[in-house]
Amino acid sequence: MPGDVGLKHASPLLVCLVVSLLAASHLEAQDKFGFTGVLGWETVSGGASQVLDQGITGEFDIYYHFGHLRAGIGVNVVSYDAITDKLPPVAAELAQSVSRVTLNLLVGYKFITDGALRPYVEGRVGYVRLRPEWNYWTTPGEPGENVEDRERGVQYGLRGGLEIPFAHKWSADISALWTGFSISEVEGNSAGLENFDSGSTIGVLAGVSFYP
Amino acid sequence: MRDFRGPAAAGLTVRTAWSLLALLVACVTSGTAQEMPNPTNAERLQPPVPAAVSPPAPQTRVSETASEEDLTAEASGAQDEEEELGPWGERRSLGAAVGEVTFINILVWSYNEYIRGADFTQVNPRSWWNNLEGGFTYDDNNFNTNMFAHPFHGSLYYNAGRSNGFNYWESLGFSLFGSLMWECCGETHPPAWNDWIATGVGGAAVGEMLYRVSGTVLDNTATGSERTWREIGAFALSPVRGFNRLVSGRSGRVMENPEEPEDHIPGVLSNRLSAGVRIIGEGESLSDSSETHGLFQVDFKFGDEFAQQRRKPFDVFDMSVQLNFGDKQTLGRLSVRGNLFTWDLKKGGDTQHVFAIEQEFQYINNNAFEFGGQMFDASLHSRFGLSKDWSIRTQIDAIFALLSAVNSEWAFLANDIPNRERFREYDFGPGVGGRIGANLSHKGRQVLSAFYWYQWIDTQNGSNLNGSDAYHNVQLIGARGMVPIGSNFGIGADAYLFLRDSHFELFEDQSQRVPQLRIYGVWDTALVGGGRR
Repeated sequence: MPGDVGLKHASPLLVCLVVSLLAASHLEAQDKFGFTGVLGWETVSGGASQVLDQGITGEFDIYYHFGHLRAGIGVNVVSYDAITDKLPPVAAELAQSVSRVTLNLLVGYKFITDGALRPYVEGRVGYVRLRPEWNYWTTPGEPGENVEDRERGVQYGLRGGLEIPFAHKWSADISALWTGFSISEVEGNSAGLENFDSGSTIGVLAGVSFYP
Repeated sequence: MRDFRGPAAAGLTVRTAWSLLALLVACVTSGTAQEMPNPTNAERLQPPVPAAVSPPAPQTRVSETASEEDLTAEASGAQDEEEELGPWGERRSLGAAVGEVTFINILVWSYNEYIRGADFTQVNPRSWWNNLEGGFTYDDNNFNTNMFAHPFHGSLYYNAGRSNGFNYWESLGFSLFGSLMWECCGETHPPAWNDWIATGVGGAAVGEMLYRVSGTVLDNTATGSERTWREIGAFALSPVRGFNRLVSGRSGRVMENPEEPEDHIPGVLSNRLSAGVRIIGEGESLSDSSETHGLFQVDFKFGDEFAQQRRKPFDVFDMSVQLNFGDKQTLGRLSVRGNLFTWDLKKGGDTQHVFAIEQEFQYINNNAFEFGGQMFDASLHSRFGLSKDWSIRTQIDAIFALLSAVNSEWAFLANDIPNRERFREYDFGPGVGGRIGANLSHKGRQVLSAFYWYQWIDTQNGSNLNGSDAYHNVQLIGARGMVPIGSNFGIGADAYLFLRDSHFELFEDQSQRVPQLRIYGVWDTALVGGGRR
């Protein structure tokens, strides 16, 4: 997390939160349509960890609630620091960061819909694209087309989190996310790496949800 | 390798900021959690006690044939009666508008990412920070994209606000906000001034026009297939408005139309369709390098500054759209001018004068020239009644262009274009100008008109290589005549001349002369209140 929140600074937060949560015993369920925007951090393991280090993530989801259940779609975008130790200097300079873009289908279950703390779990499956983030001069006559091919594949994941309503239509959202992804094989021989076609990530997300 | 810790390196300042933020969140949570309502389901479904409820606004009445579902919705709506409903029954919802603006951006991003396969869609928090850090520049998109597509995109943001109960000024904020969100976070290309102004400001003009035009199509009292087609028509004109009517149930609910005519069909309205041919030349006469194309044009006039009682933004506006078949772009011109503020200088009698501040959107794009921009005018409108059926109207405008664009021979040299993908053929810059016009009307139908428009554009990006001086003097001159046939038809012709004199500090000055002749049949499809007399 950016910055450094010590216990000294966090204690007012904890005290106020506990007081407010004790006081807010009967709360209206936030239902039907909801939007969630979160930022977070994650780390990579598996085959992809040869190339990808930690990443900063952003996600925007739209849900519809059916009682305890919720379904929706979301876009998750991550920028990973690339591990460039074994790459030639020019390639290392160009491949400093790698982007992952995922369009997800989301299905979740909220254990408590009208309490002060609303834990949930959520499964997701999506279409993932992975590619370096540098921009090339594109071929004249074909503006906007990507010079580099994307590595494409499937991503799946599990998210466990907590919604904390702080206003009639607003909640804070804190969660942990595990994902696994399987993509077209990336050849690493020229860089002294093993080929890889999969990886997994684990990270934390925090943001807000809005129920219009 | 870039270190993304960014402002975290500021150390103590960030720690203090996080502490303050934590305290603020805690106090807000503590305070608002106490106030959260706890209605039971039974309370939600009970109709209100009559003595405690003020008379409902017309749009909340339901017809005698209302279903149980309608009564439930009515009770739910009455519970939120302290909420202000718009003239079309829309609830004012900041969150819904912001959510829709965000969703529009995600939709456009998804199209670019998955259908176009664009190279600027791999956005993430790092690219967002880079864009915020890097600041605004200019881009090199083609004229159609920058001067039409972006304002249309902005109109979607604008109508997310408008159709969620916000007025013109508030919705202008939504179009600027939505554009800023896209420039920051929707693409990896650095933010562009021209995009923000075209999308934010141009989006408001195009958006309000589409909102008002779609309002003339809607009829809350209609039923059956007529209602369905009207809702479809309004959806085509303003998709966000149509979507909101659909999900809220208002598209199928029978209720009263807005009380004030300006919110629906104003007291004075006219719509003219023209179809014919357009001959455009280059140089001294039409016979020089001339091209002939088919044309179709719509001229829509909403309201009348001399007859209007209400004076909200765009209660009076003109819209003109021209399709050029066989030309570079089918959409050859889109013009929108709407009154923002209006003052009577002389009312009543045969001579009337009105002063107005107007917003203007111009887009002209054809094989010969490109011209457009976001402008604001200070206008003096005058009406001279000659007889019961004949009148002359004049208009004198002082024009300030926030950002204009015009074709230029040296625009391709524009520097400060990051991630260049093409060479631009037009210059960007603010400017000032003036315009005079007059038209003669018979029974509310224009039969003769003429105008002269001068615009000076000071190039900020394009031919002003390395900051050198470059400016354009643009003139448009036109005259139009129409011979009425019956009360709704006619034959018309007009002649236009586009003149451009461009000065470049580093290069030879350039001139351009484009004459144009149009001949067409006319059909006045709507003349409410007899048109502008």
